[in-house]
Amino acid sequence: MSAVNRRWYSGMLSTEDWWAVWLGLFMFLMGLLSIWEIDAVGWMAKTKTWEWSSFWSDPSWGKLLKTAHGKAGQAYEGLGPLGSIITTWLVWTALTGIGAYFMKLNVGKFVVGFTIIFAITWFVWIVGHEAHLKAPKTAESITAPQVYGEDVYCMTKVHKCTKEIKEALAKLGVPEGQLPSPQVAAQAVDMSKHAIRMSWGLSLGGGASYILALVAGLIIGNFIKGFARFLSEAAKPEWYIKTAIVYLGIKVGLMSMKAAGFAFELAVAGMAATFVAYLLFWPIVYTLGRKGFKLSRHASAVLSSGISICGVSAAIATAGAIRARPILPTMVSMLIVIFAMIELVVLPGFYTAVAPNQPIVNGAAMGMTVKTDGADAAAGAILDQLMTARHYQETGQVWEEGWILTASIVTKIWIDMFIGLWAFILALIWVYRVERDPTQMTVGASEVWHRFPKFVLGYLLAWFVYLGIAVFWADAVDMAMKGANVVQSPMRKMLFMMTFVCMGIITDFSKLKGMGRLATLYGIALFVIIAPIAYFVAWVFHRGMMPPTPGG
Amino acid sequence: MKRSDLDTVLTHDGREWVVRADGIEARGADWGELDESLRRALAGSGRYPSGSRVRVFMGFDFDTLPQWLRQYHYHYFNRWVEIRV
Repeated sequence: MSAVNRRWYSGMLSTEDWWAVWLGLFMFLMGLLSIWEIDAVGWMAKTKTWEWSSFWSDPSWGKLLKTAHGKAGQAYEGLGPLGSIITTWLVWTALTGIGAYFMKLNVGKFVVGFTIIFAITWFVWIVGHEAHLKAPKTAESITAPQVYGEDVYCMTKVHKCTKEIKEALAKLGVPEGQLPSPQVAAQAVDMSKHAIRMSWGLSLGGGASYILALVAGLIIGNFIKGFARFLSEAAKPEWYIKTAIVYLGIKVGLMSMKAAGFAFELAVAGMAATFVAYLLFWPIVYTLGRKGFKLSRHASAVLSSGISICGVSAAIATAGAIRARPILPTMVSMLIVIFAMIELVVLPGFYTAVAPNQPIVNGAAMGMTVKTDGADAAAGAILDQLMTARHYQETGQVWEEGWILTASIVTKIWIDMFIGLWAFILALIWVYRVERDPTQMTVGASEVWHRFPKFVLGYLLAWFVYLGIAVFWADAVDMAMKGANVVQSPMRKMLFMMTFVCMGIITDFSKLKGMGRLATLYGIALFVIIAPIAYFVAWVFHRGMMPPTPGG
Repeated sequence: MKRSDLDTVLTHDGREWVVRADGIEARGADWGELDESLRRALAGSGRYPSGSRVRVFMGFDFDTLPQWLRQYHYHYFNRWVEIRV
C-alpha cells in the first residue's frame, strides 16, 4: 500500500492536514447550530480559576471545572463537572480515533496514547489555573493600592471584578467616581463574588498552564523516552494545532465583528511583511550555506527553506521540489523541531521584556521567526498571555486577549500559503535550469495544490462565515456567539494545550548530537539573521498597531 | 489529471531511487541512471514496441518518509518523464 498523491483529492481521508479541516469544520458546524437554538457543543468541560486553600478545605470537581459557558451549556448542566469532562474525553477520543483509523494509525495504541495525553493536558491545565499562578490583580489594587491594598486578585476577567466591586460600593452608599475609605473598600471586596485577597500571585493568566504543559511534555520526551515512544502514535502536535487554528478562524471572525478594520489591517500588514521577509531570508541563508559552510546545493536549499519559511513543511516541500534524497529533509526537520522548541521557550519572555509596548510587532515577528505551526501558535499564545498580563499590571489597561496570538498566526498562515507557490517555482528552476533533466516532461501545477496547507481553508471559511453573519444576518449574531464561544475558547484552548504537551513529547534534544555543520548553520542563521530581520520587517509593517481594548 | 502510459511508484531506499509498477523495477542513484534503468526494463518487458515513447508517471510514495514527519506535510513530489524505448 503506497501513499502517492495522484489526484487532487488524494490525502483527503488519510492525512493530518485534511483531518484538521474535517474536525475543525465539524465542530464549527456544531457551534453554528446555536443559531437555531440547538446546543450541540455545551457539554465541553471548561477550566475554572481555583485557590488551593479553599479547594482543600472542601474538595470538589465543581471548584476546578465548570460546565456553563455564558449562555451556552445550560442544556448539559445535569452532567456536572465530572460528567462534562468524561463527555469531553469520549467525544474527542471518538473523533480523533476515527481520524486515526482513516490515517491508518494503530487505533488501539492511538486511543490509549490520546487518553494519557488528554489526562496530562487536563491535569496541568487545572494546576495552571490555581489562583496564585493565574489570577490577575484587580484594577482597584493596581490603580488605588492605598485604598484597596495590593493583594486583591480577580478569579475571573478583571472587568467583571471591577463591576462587582463598583456594585458593592454603590450598595454601601459610595457615589460613583469617589474613592471609598479603606474600611468600605475592604467591605466591597468582601462582597464581590470573584475578588480574593492573596499574599502573593504571579498573575500569569493562561500562560501558566501553557508553560506547565510544555514542561510536562519535555520531561517525558527527554527523560522518559520509552514512554514518549509509546505516546508517539497519538502525539500529533501539528494535527491538534491545525484543528485549533480552524477554531481560531471562528475567534478571528468574532473579533472581526467588533474590529473589522483592525483585522483587515492585520491581515494585509501580515501578508506584506511575510513577502518582504521571505525575499530577504532565503537568499541570505542559501548564500551563507553555500559560501560559508560549503554545503551542497540541495542541503543549502532545503535548510534555507526550512529556516526561512514554514519549517518542516517547507523543508519537505523544497526537498521534493528539487528532488533531494528523502534523508535530507528528515535531518533538517529534526533540527527545525528542536530549534522551534528553543525559540518557543526563549522568545515570548524575551519580546515581552525588551518590547513591552509593541504587542502586534512582537506577535508578527514571532510568526516569521518561530518555525512549525505548533511552535508558532504556542509561542504566540504565551506571548499574548505574558504581554496582556504585563501591560495590565503596569497600566491597569486591558488589551483584548487574542490579537497578539492572531498577529503571530496570520503571518505564519501567509508563509504557509506561499510555500506551495515557492516550491513550484523552485521545481521549475531546478528541473530546467540546475539539473537540466532531459527526460522530465513537465512540472505539474497540481504540485502547488498538493503542497497547499489545507487547514487554511477551514480557518478562512470559519472566519468569513462569522464575519458574514455579522454583516448580513445581524439578528443571528447573539445566538451564533453562544456556540461559537464554546468552540473558539475551551475547545481551541484544549487543543492548544494538547499541542504543548505533544510538542514536548516529540522533542528530544539529544538528537542534536552529530548534526555538526547543519546545526551550527541553523543556530547562527536563526538567531543572527532570521530573528533580527523578522523583527525589523514586523516593526516596519506593524508599528503603532495596538490590540483593541474591551469596549474601546 | 494527465494521462500516462505507465503509472509507477517512486521510493528511495537510502542509496538509490527505485521505481516499481506491474512487475517492472528500475533503480538509479540519480535521475539519469534511473531513467536509463527504466528504459531497459520497459524494453525488456516486451510491452512497448521498439522506438515508442512511453509517458511515465512516477508518484512518490510518501510512506518513504518517517511517520512522525507526515503530520507536517504530506506531499514530496511527482515526476513525469517520457522514455524512448
